[in-house]
Amino acid sequence: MKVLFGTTARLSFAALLAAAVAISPLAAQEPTRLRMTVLGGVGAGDGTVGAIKAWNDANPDIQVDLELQSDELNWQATAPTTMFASSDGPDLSWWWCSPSFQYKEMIAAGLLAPLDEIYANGGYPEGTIQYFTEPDGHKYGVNTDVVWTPYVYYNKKIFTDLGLTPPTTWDELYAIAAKVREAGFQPMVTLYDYGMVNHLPDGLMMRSWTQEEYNALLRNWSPDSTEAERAFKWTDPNSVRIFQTLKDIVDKGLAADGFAGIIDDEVAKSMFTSGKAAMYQTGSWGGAGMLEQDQFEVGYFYYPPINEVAYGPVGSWVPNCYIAFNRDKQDAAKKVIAFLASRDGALAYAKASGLTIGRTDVDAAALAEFLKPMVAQMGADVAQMGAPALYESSVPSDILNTLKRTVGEVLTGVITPEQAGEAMQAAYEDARSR
Amino acid sequence: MTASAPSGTREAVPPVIPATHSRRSLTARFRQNGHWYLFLAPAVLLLVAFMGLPLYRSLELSLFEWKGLLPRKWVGLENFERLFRDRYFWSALSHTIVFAISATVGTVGLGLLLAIAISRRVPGHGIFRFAFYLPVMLPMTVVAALWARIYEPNYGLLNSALNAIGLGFLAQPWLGSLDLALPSIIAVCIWQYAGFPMIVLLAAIEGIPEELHQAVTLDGATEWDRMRYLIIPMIWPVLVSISVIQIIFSLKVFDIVWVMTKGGPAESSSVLGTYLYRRAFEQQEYGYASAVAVAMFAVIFTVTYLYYRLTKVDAVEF
Repeated sequence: MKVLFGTTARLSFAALLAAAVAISPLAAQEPTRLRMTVLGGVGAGDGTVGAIKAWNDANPDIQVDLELQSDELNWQATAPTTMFASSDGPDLSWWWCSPSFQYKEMIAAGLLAPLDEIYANGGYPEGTIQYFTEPDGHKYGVNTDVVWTPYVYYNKKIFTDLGLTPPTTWDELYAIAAKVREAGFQPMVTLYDYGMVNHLPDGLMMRSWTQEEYNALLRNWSPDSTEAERAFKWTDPNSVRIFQTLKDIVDKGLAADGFAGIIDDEVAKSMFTSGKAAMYQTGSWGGAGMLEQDQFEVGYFYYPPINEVAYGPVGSWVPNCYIAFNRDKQDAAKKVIAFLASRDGALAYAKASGLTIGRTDVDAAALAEFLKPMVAQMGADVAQMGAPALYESSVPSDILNTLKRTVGEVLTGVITPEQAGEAMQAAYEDARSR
Repeated sequence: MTASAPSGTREAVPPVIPATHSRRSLTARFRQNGHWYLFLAPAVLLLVAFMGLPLYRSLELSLFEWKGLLPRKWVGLENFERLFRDRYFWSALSHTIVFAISATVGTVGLGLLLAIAISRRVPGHGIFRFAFYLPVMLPMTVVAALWARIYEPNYGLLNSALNAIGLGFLAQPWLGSLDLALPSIIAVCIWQYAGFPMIVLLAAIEGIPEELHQAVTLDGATEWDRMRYLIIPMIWPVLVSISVIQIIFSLKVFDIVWVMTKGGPAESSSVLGTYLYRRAFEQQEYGYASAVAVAMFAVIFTVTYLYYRLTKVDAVEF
């Protein structure tokens, strides 16, 4: 009996040992799983999905589970204070690295992990590096794609039929609007909330302010701004001219009828793609989608005059970025972002999204394989002319909303351009005093 | 028949707490009515958890400046001072009051007319009752998105229809006009919700005893007299209740405005709900937005209380 018990015990021990040996390699192969959030249904989301698939295929030891969020303001507005701040939040995310989306607050609250080492390999333009370098010397975001706004897309058939060519002056543009109206089309259609009151002023600032004014007025709302920066004001003639041009766009018939009621981009876009409007204003991100319809050929032009003198080092409108959260798995998250930011990751992003990428060291031939000619040309334009950080990505949300409200009031005739300048200046002074 | 019953009407049901309750101890009173408190407990707990605490936290937060992530900064009553100086707040408040009054008068008024017409058994009354109630069953956001398309100035159904029947001169940029945006939204609200008071008032009208209708008929009253001297007095308590519900509902309006105009153009259709939302979730000014919420609560509470006081009615006795 004793022998039998001893044998059984030895056999059991051996079996347990064998099982442990058999299991241990499996345990070692268990991948690290990371949670990543990204906006779904938009080009950036598609690009990230494609790039993450490439990562997951090549890296079985670190797998990323994507959580697609809807592209609407509710989630974007509350994610930093809820999901991102939560102890069980995601490990990394695609995000807007701009003050309006609490990027600075997340850094100050210690939510984000520094990504300095990703920039060590180069590949990013100086403007991007400057944008992401925080006062503490660290970088917490990595740019994903280059966008520029506003672009005016136009229906080449309507333009050809009416004998029109892209304008080089505002008067030419207003004359085009008049001819288009006479022919029974709406001239230019755009989403009111983000197109007319947000990205249109973005474009006009670059065309009305000098480079010095531009650099000062994107910063001098801050209590930390210098006296020299504060010498430039919203009540200066070049600032008031921004509002005057907005007023002219309405008064001279360039804006579509009922423009202030178009709050759905699908409505705006469908007016253009259905041939009811001759021009459609949005950003470079709309370029790939514009070409999917086959009713007519689409061209694009910039608001006149397009100033080929760069407003700063060549860069990009950089807020589209990847961030890693300051959590246990941040090292793994950084490895993933390092891949997404690499040449291979950027190409996977371009292939899946059809958008131009943030790196400038990827040759055009490689990108041309994935990007449609018009989009590739836009990328080349940006590389040539430069694209400074836009107003939206530089000011806090209360200032941005004051601008949007003020522009809306100018466009609808509630206040004059001069009053708009005064309102913006008052908002700046209020912000400095708080 | 009496439109205003004597106050003793309700005394037919004996009060739960006898007149001598003041002399009894709290324990004895609780022992006698404990089971009723037990019934009330879940509702009270939910009320405290989901109304009382958030209300308290809103009030507390309104005294701070807070962006949601970094520590809060005590500012005392500064948010309320800013609120009183903020012309966009006053504009949103005035739009809210206009919306509440117009939507209440519109939905209850139209609902009353429909209820009276249907109660008179006009041909097809069953179909009308169903058809007019149908929009109430649709989600408001769906209705708002649908009407935003209908109002679209260039190829929306409304302007297209006006053009088709030779009334093109009436075509307007409905939601893009400073003067028309808010009235256009109110019209949609009335279209969607008139069916609710209609159903409630119809039930009240059909509860009026047939003998009273016969008496009015024998007296040689016209239909107008019937409405004025019989129907409206008899359904007055229901009419007041439904109006109060509609006013509270309208003062809290958010979704229909947000979907159709986001408060624009140029804040011309901004209401307290959209103003609060923008301040809280677009500008991350949670302290200031809480001050707006407190002000909104005060307005709704005051208006509702005043409405109840001014239109206080007793039960109708048949």
